[in-house]
Amino acid sequence: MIVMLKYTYRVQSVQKAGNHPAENEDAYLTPASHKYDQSDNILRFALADGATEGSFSKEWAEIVVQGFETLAFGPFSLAATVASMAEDWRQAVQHKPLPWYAAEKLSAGAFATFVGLGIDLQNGMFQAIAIGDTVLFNIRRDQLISSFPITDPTEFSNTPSLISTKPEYTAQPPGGGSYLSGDIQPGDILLLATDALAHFILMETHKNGKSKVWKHLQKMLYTRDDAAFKTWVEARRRKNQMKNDDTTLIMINF
Amino acid sequence: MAYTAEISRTNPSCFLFIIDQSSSMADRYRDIRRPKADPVADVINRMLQQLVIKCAKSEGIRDYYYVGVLGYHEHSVNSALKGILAGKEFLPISEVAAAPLRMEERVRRLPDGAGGLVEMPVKFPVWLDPVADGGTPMVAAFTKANQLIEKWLRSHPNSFPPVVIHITDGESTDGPPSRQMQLLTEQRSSDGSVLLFNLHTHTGNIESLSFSGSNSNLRDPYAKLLFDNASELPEFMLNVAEREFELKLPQGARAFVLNGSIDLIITAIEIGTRPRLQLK
Repeated sequence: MIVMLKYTYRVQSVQKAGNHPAENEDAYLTPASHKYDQSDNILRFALADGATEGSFSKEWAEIVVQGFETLAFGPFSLAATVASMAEDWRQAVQHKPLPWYAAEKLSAGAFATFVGLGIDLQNGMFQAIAIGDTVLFNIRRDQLISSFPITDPTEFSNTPSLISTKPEYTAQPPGGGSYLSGDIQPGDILLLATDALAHFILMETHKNGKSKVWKHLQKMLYTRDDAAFKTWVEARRRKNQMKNDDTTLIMINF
Repeated sequence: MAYTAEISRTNPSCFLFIIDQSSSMADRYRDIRRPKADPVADVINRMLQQLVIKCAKSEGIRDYYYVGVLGYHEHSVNSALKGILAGKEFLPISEVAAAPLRMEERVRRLPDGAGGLVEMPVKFPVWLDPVADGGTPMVAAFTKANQLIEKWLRSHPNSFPPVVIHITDGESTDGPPSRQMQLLTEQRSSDGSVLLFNLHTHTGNIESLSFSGSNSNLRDPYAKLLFDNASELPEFMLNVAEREFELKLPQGARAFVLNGSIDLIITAIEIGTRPRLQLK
């Protein structure tokens, strides 16, 4: 008899302090936000962080995470997939005459960092692709067993690898896009976090090997209201423990 | 730590360009054979364009920066912007974006993908036209700059410190400007002192000196004055110089160019106008 892994998940996203919620340029894909395809039994999550320096970055981040639902992101298909998504982005943003600066900015393209995660519930496996500094954490028996693609808080910089509407700027494997696969056991936690929170989590675990920051996050996401995460993030920002940036967390519990 | 304040719409920063528009700016650069005032105006126009584009988002322009452009020439120190921006001092970048004097069509050479270059027409917004007229009232220019910056800092006490970029080709004709330059770099926000770039340009055939850490090579008292009053480049600008221009500058390097070609002036301005942090 095949035993399917059971799972639950929660998502929270808080815009940068000083910005309107609509200006949050993080975008995510969860099984609730797309039609779960029973045929391949793959559960898909994705998280992208649109780069503020670009314009129409939110639109790009959204297209990338939605693209992860149906398009191929393997090392041999990535370039074609990005080209096709970039075309969708151009169609989406070039619908009206733009002032000179917007047209110029558009020609510079849009950028995002990205993690896509496919989970095979039947076989207890996952596969992930990452470009840049949006991070996937795997926690087992209350220990952080992997963080991908960044493992050390010093690896965060102002110039992460990016997925871009301009093919020449998209980091190609093996340098920029990287892949990870692994098994999942009941009790495991997978976290996807954009850079500000990912950096905080890695700082906490590096500073204190016994840190169980995910326990705190889990309690907050599952037992408290939506405002709790926002309040917690704002407090970390005030104490300069977390960069003031759009901050998104997807927590998946098995 | 200084120079770490976040630049945002609620806590914007500012750039002030101070442009020498005296008659010697009509002398031609030997390499490009154009009067100095022409490419200097082009450079300022391009910098304004870049700042606007940096602040452009899908919904419009975000006012991360305020910008002022002072021109000084015979008997006058005024905003060098024209059209409906004429006479305005500091302007939010969105107002700059909305009101170029005119849009010109220029040609940009881009790689054609086969090792050559292809010419592409591009839109070039113009806010500032070249001027070359009379004396060099540098003291008056810096007195005015001090007033503008003081006013700005009163309403933005915690901002990323103002960056002031001064481009000149000659000596002051209304007395030594050291005191006014000193007063300027003594002004500060809670995040650090005003950063002054003293960029001296020359028509050519003379050795240039840039970003040095010491004035010991400078014989000319006027060159010394420009050096001594230029700010030390903060750490993040040293990093920009190294990362983007392959210039490994020493600690203590000054925001200073002497006898610079127009290319050197552009590099210096680029180093001074890249934000330390990603704009959020």
